[in-house]
Parts: sequence; C-alpha cells; structure tokens
Amino acid sequence: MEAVKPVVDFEDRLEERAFSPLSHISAKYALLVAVLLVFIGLGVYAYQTQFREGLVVTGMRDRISWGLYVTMFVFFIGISMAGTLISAILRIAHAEWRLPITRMAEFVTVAALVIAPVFILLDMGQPTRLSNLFIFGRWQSPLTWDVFGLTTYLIGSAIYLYLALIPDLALCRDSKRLKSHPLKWLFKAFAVEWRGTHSQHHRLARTLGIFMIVIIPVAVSMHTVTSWIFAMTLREPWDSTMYAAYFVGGALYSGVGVLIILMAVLRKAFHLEEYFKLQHFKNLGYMLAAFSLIVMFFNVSEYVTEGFKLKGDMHLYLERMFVGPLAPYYWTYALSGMVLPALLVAIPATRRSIGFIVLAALLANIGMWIERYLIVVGGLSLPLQPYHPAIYSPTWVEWSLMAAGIAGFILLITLIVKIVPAVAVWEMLEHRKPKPVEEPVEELEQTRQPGLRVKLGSPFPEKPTPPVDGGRK
Amino acid sequence: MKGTIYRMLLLLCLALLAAWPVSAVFADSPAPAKLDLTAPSSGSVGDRLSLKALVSSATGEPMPGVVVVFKVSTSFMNTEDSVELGRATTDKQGVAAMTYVPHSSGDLSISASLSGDVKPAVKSASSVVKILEGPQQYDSEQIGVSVPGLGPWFLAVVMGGIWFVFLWAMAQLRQIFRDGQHSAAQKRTSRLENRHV
Repeated sequence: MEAVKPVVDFEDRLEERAFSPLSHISAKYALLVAVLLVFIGLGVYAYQTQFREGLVVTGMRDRISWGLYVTMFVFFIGISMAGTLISAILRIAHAEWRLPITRMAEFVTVAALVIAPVFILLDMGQPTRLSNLFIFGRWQSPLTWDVFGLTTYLIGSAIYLYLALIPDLALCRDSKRLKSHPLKWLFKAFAVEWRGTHSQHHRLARTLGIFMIVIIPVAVSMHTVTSWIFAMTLREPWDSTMYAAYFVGGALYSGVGVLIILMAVLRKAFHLEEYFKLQHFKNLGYMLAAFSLIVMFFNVSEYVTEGFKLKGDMHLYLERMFVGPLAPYYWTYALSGMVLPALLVAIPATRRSIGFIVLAALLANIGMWIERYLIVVGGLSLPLQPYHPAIYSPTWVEWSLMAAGIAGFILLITLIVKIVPAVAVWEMLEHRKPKPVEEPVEELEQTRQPGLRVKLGSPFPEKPTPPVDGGRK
Repeated sequence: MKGTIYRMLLLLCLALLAAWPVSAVFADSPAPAKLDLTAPSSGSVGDRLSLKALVSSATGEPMPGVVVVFKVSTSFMNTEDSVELGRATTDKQGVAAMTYVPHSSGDLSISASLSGDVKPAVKSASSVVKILEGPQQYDSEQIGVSVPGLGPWFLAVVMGGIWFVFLWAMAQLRQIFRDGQHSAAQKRTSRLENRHV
C-alpha cells in the first residue's frame, strides 16, 4: 500500500480533499445508495401498478387531473434554476467566493432537469402518449414551448457543466492519487487533450464567457414557459400576468435552498470545511433571504390586487386558501416557508450558525413545495361548473413515485460526486496562482477562430500578485 | 243593538273605501302570471340561437321590467342539474331575449324562469332544441392578436440562435482538443531534440 504523504501546501491539500471521494467507496456511501435504491424500487413497483391499472390508481380524476406529479415537475424545474443560473450570474459578477460552490450548483441543475420530465411521463399514464406531443403538438401551445425549452436548458446546462469540468478531468487524468482509478479512461476521453496551454485556457474562457451569457436567458425562459402552462389556461386562480416573474423568483429561492443543503451535506461527508466556510453559507443565506422577500412581495402584490377586485371565482378561491380547507397549507408556506427562513438569516445570532442557515434552506424548500401544490391542486379544485370544489387525495402510488423521484435526484448527485470532483479544483488553483505571462499577440491571433471575434472579460478573476520588490520601484 | 250594527256597517264601508286605492294600484300593476319560452326547434353547433321569453299577466297584458333567467339542463355522472346561461329583463312588449351558442350536439333542454321570489309562483317554461353537428368547429379559428411578420419563425430563430451557440461551443471543444494534441506533439519533439543534444 502506498504511504500517505503529508499534505503541505494548498494545492496538494485541495487535490487530496477533492479527489479522495473519487478513489474509494465508504460503507456509509454504499448504505446511502442502497437506501435510495430501495425507494426507487418502491417507485418502480408503484409505476408498474399504474402502468397495469391506469391512472385510476392515482387520486387524479377528471376535475383535478394534475396532482403530485405536476407539482413535482414544477418543483424540480424550480430547483434546477439553482445551478446554472446562479453559477453563471456569480461568474459574470466575478464573485470570488463562488469558486467552491459553482460546481455543485451545476450538478443540481443537471440532476433536477433529468428528473423533472420523468414526472410528466408519469402524469401521462401510458408513456406512449408522449408521442402525441410531437404528432399533435402546436406551435401556439405553451406545452410545446416547454418541451423545446426544457430540452434546450438540459443540453445547455450539461454542456456548461462539462466545459467547466474539462480542466478538472485533466487533473483527474494526470493525478497520481487516481492512478489506478477504474474510470481513468473516462477522464482521459473527456479531458479532450487538455494540457493547460494558454491557447486552451483562452479558448475555454471565451467559450464559457459566451455560454454563461446565453444560459441565463435560457434558464429564465424555461421557468417563464413553465409558468405559462398555467397562466395561459382559462382558470381564474392562474389568470395572472405576473406568474412568470413569480415562478422565476420562486425558482431562485428554492434553488439557492437546495444548494445550501447540498453544500452542508458534502461539507460534512467529504470534509470540505476548509472550502465551504461559514461565509459561503452566509452569502448564500443572504441570497435566500433576498429571494424570500421577493416571493413575499409577489404574494402580497398578487393577492391584494386579486382580493380587492374579486373577479369571477376569486372570492371562493381566496376564501378557501386563507380561511378554508387550503388555509393550513397556505399559512404553513407563508409563515414557515417565507417569513421564518428570512428571519433565520436576518437575525445575527442564527445567521452565525451553519445549522440554522441549512434549516432556513430546508424550510424554504418545504414551503416552495407546498406553494407549487397550492398552485396546481388549489387552482384545479375550483369548479368550472356549478358544483362544489373538487377534492384530491394522493394515493400510495403517487407518494411512492414522488419519493422515488426525490431518491433519484439524490442518487444522481451522489453518483456524480463520486465520478468528478465536487469543487472546481482548477478554478480555485487558478485564482491563487500569479497571473501567467502573456503569450505574444501573434500566437493568440493564430489560435483565434476566424469569423467570431467576441472579446469578453475572463470569467476567472485573477488576484493581483504583490510586486516582488515590495513595490519600491 | 241596531245602532251597533249600523256602526259596524259604517266601519266596514269606511274600511272598503280606505282599501279602494290599494286595489286600484294592484289593478294598475298586475302580478306576472304567465311565462312563455320561444326557441328554435333545431340548430347546429356554433349557431347563434335566439331565446325569447314572454312574460304576461293573468289577463294577457305584457309585463315590462321583469328579470328572466335562462338555464340549460346538464347531466354529469348521474347528477342532474342546470347551468345558468344568462339573464335578461323584459321590454315594453314583455319580451326578454338572449342569444346562446351551443358547443355540443344533442338535445338541449332550455328553460326560462322568473328571477327572485315571485308570488304567486309562475311556472317556468321549457323547450327542447335539437342541436346537430355543425359544418365546422364552433370555435373561431382566428383568435388572438395578429402581429404582422410574427409567427413560428420567430421561435425558430430564437431557438436556432441558442442551438448555434451550443454547436459553436462544441466546435471550440474540438479546437481545444487539437490545441492539446499540438502541444503534446511539441513537447515530444522538444524532448527528442534535447535527447539528441
């Protein structure tokens, strides 16, 4: 067995911390995967039942035809906002504290976008009905836009994650710690001959620079289109022009929450305390509090105007939500899903504890899940005919598939963090290194692609190096 | 005794005299007593059906200013009910009218009744209209705001632009790969040259 060398400098320490989860599988990790697989197995059994019996085994009927499945779809689309968008915004803003967290944010996006459409398939009953979307799809339908938007966002996020991963894959390929790693071939293949030359750095920086600008409107449009599936339907509670903004705000809120939770879990599991400091949690906590205030503002703005006019069936809807059967859900969401997380971050005593910030993130996500449920089920429960409001009770099939979806999401992230480093090692090293000597301009010009000469600032902020002579010259 | 009877008769006469103007008012505005519904016997999906209700008094005089409620019978999963189609107020001829566009074929059972608590109660009137399949979809095919020059092509251009960036990124990856190969080859050459030296 190879003797463990003492880790002395930052680079070695970082590589050791980032690569060690890749080199071995602990008993706890195996147990976690097993538990997740049990939940997924339960989901497979539930789906088998639904496939055999039809959607009648769910609590959905003709009046409430969207239940937990669509709630979960909207919820996962929401948390997918975390990654790419937050990562891209922080990169553009040159927020240096983002360096250790961007990779995880991108993981969250890709994993959530893989799981979200599964719930649409579940909601369809027979999966063959998916073809109807393409056979009978119309350009005018927000559902068609959503299919295009989701596909584009998923592919774009995967490319974005991969681009930022290339130098780390090269590090994995060349690392002595991972010399006998079974996935060495994978690192080699996907590192695309990365040697860290200046022209490669320049090219990657430019590609990431353009990509991060493109991915922001793609992410926003994805959430906008998802909200339009509701807002463009002739139903009183969804008849709102601010739904798109409401969805984007809510997505950012829940996305930041998931990122905080994931950061805390990986910090503990992979001993990344040196890189995920209290300050990172605080900064993300501030973002969480800010988004919670935005969501609160949207709530007040929406319900005060609707409640003042009481157009159509809004009286019944608001009555049901504020004092009726939906009131326990709404007030749980409002108080513990919006107000409490903001307070936990705002109060200095709780803000100083990572545990409280994680609690705020957890509450925010529970609250946002309830909010999605209220939008979907609460909106559909309002009758279009002169009947009583409809009732919906999810069955064990739906609960099982929901649990399986969450387990699938966690499993995807659990697997990704075992294949590639959970922190952007090369970006953190890049940040600490002195600025490299500029290559001659002629060489740069040769490496540049003709026809596309977009000059963007480097997405990798470089720390000014102190002068060697102490600044006397 | 006789005097008492005279006094009572006098009081009765006075009471009748006092009641005379009230009965005169009643005579001026008689209560609605009859309701007739006129509807076409048949139509097609998407047609505009003209529904008319005539409200008249017991003596057959038209009753203006009376609110009539038009309803259609519905049945869903063994539950029978009626859905209000609309309300209209009678004109000087005692006619309340509205139009209704049927959305589905079949026998449409339309009824008209007086709004509010009318006493004595007036029997509602009903009529069955046979609705046939229409020549085309009842919904208007031209809906929304037409913006000249804006169409699916706009969506295609936006999506195309985004996917172009994706493809461009892939091309950059290929170039990164080539740069790496070139750099590795250069290193190998310089290593060989160093050995020769």
